Amino acid sequence: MPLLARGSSMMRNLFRRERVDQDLDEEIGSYLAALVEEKVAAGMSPEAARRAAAIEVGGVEQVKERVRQARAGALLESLVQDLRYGLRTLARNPGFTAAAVLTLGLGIGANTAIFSVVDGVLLSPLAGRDPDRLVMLWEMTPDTPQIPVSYPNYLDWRQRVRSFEDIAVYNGFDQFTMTGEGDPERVRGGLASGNLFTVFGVEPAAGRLLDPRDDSLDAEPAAVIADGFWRRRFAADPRVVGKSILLDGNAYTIVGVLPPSFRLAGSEVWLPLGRFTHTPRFVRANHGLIGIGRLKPEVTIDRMLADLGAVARQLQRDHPADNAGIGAAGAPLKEMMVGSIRQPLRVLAAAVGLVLLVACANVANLLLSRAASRQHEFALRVAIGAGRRRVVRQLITESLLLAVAGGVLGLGLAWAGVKLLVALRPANVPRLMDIQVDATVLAFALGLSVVTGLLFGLAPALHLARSEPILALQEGGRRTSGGRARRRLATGLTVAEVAIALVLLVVAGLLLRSFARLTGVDPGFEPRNATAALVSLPERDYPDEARRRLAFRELLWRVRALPQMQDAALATDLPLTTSWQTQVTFAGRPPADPGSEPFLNAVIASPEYFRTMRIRLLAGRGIEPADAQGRSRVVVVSESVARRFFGGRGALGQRMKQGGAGVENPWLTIVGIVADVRNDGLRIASRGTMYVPHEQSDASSAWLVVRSETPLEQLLPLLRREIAAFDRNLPLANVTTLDDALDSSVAQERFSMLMVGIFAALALVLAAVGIYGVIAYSVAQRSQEIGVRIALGARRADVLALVVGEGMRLTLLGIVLGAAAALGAGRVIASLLFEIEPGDPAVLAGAALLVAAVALLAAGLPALRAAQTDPRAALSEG
Amino acid sequence: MNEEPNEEKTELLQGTLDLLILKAVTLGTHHGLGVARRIEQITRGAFQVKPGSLFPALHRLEEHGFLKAEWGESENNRRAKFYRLMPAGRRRLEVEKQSWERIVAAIAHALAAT
Repeated sequence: MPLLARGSSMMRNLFRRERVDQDLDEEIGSYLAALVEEKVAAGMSPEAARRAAAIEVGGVEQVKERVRQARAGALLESLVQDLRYGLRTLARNPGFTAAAVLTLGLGIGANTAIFSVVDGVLLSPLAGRDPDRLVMLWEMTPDTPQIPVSYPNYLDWRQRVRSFEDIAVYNGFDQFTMTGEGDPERVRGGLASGNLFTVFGVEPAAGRLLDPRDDSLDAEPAAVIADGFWRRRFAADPRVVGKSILLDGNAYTIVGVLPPSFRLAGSEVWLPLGRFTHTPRFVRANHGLIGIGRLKPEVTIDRMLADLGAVARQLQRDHPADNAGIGAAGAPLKEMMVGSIRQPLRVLAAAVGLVLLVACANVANLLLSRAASRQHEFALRVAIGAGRRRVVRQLITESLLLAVAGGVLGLGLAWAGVKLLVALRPANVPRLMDIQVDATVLAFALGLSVVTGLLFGLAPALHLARSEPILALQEGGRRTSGGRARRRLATGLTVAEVAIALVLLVVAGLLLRSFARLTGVDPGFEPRNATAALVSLPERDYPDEARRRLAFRELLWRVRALPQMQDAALATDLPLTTSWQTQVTFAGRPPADPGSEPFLNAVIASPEYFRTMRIRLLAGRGIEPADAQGRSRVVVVSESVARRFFGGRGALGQRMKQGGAGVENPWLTIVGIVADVRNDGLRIASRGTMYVPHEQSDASSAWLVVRSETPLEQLLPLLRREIAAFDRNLPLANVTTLDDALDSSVAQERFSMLMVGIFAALALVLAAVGIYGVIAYSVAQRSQEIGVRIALGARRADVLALVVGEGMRLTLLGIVLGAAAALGAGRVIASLLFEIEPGDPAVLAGAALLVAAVALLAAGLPALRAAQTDPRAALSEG
Repeated sequence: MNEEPNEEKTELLQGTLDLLILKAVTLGTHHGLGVARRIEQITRGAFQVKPGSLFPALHRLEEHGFLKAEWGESENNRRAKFYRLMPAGRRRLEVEKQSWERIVAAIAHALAAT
């Protein structure tokens, strides 16, 4: 096609200057050679001919420069003309322009908003130096792929693993009670090895960060605070460095403030880990830390894993009692932070891209129907000597103008949309605060606008340029020869719109049903009217087990005495967010080999816990007040434990203990079996839970769970009053209703479902507009024919059926194509689905019906108008 | 060879050169030197076009879509770039020709009026 060839010559000129230059060199060279040949033929000696030719041509570089200027001049000149003409044309058709710009603005805006999320979450680097070389490290057992790292093992890694420049560890899940000025407050604290911030490569915003010297017990106790805490608690006071704070009754000096970009584990205060490592919490058998390694340059993850694995095996041999079966592994830190959100975001990006495609198809359709009225204009321009290429360029310039206007509008929409998104705070989306509309996003929006402009502008432009100007002029511009081709193109575009809308609807439907399934899962407890709050007893005021047990007993007694209270209980872990897992050994059932003991979730619970949570008792008894110190030690297990290890029968009366077979822990007798609770989120079936009596264990902090009909805002002050009456320095932390906790555990799924739902609705509306446009145009074209039919006695119903039938035929084609594509799309998102097949027939049928219904509506409006055609008017028009 | 006396006359108005080039390729394709020689021939040697104005004009016309350039073999089996008149160029030539004729007639009339 010559037209395309010419278009490519323009591209070559614009974008491949080097090749154009080479081409020109060759052209002038061949000119020179021909000239020499000519002179030789005329009788000159070759030597003289060459000299004469060179003089005649003059400076080759000069010639080339003038050619380049001429080309650029011609291009620029026509560009300015095209722009001016385009702006005038668009201004003359405000309705068309507004519709096109709005459609494009929605498409580009949605894409830009989603891109800024993808860019902020997935593409931007983490804070710190060379974040790509940071690796998160953990340990594992044959039964559990990830357990935290034990401190002595970490020390051995640091000495023996060669792949890292350095390794650091932290524990970000501690909480401290901050007392002194103002109300006592629970703050989220982290314990950091002295080199943690060096490994991250983060610079302090004020003062200094922790260093290895702070790990010594002889050093002055130092603390580093996070930016958010600095602003919240100290009003961003720069003189905070050097200030002393009381945490759990111990004084620490604030030595520095972290930059806002560095957020880790939500910790507000970081303390030197070395001040705590002498406690039993940090012996080799206890795993509670997260490792962060900085890879040496050129070291791959695979090499690091081999290296680390070899060291872990050495440690198994060196410490068989503590390290039997303990391995080690790691993965890039960024992968760990965003790995779970990557797939949902990719699906969102794909979905919003499809919306843009539908928007493009719609604008292309608008341009096509307008092309009908402009054919005469362009035929005239071609007739008076405008190259067809100029005409195409003119049309594409207009499309680009539309696209850029749409892009500007879209950028505004995206800016507002991102504000809204961040305000909605979809939980479980990491690094949400890093999202913003910045230069990258700006460049994306601009690039997208240009691509969009070409996408929707090219087809109508080529179509118009291909039609024969003479015919167009002869037909007087009323009915044009391009009519049929144009209608085919418009129909094709509309079919594509319908197909894409169907794909998006199917995906949205799958996510919706999957979400319904997920939230329909029985969590194993009754979240309604239940509220939980964390109570932690500072070690200074409650130094021994007996005092802690007494304190919790008294607290519980006071809370239960409140008249609004139906039930109240204590437990060390809440469902959905279990953090404590332990190895267990069953009496008389030794594990296959040492180190392969199973892991169970473990909860220390007070007697009323099962009743308060409404966890069903299946066999035996629950935890009772009689299960106290000095009595025989008991345990209640969940259904899956009984099933997994005792075949569902005979679990009652069996004995089990925490830890491996060789560990000296007391045996516990199984006295009851309760229903399973989804401890690790709704998606994951329970691995099994053991509940031990609060009175027979030791806990320094526990969740207070209460059940009451009284709304939280009235209940909370009552609870606070009771606790303060007991100990003025005890804060209530992490207050949440269990409904909210359950809700936020599916926040990411809800977010994906909502967004894809919105995009699907958008695509459906756009597709409906497309169908309406095509049918309305076709009705206008056929008004004479319809008039004749009516004049010849066709009933209105026949006309209605005729027109609607035309719309439904293309809808049906779109549905068939879309259904095939949707099956493929379903497989792509299969990993996001919960207990629903990607090809779910109900979803497919529902989406198809919805599309058909909307299409019926869109085709019905013009059909009704057609049926009202006055045959006399229609006929006299022709 | 009457090169010397015509040296001054080769400075052509851009519009005139475009017109001559379009005219030169109406009957067939030519490479650069061929276009120059053809112009020489049809103007009976009055206009000699140098590469410094020939190539910019050829490329400008190509850019406007009036000419199409293609690589091919010259009569001496040499690779050369050939220019062909496009339909848009033919129409352009027609328009330019008419306006040229109007100018010529007007100027002639003006000169005769004194």
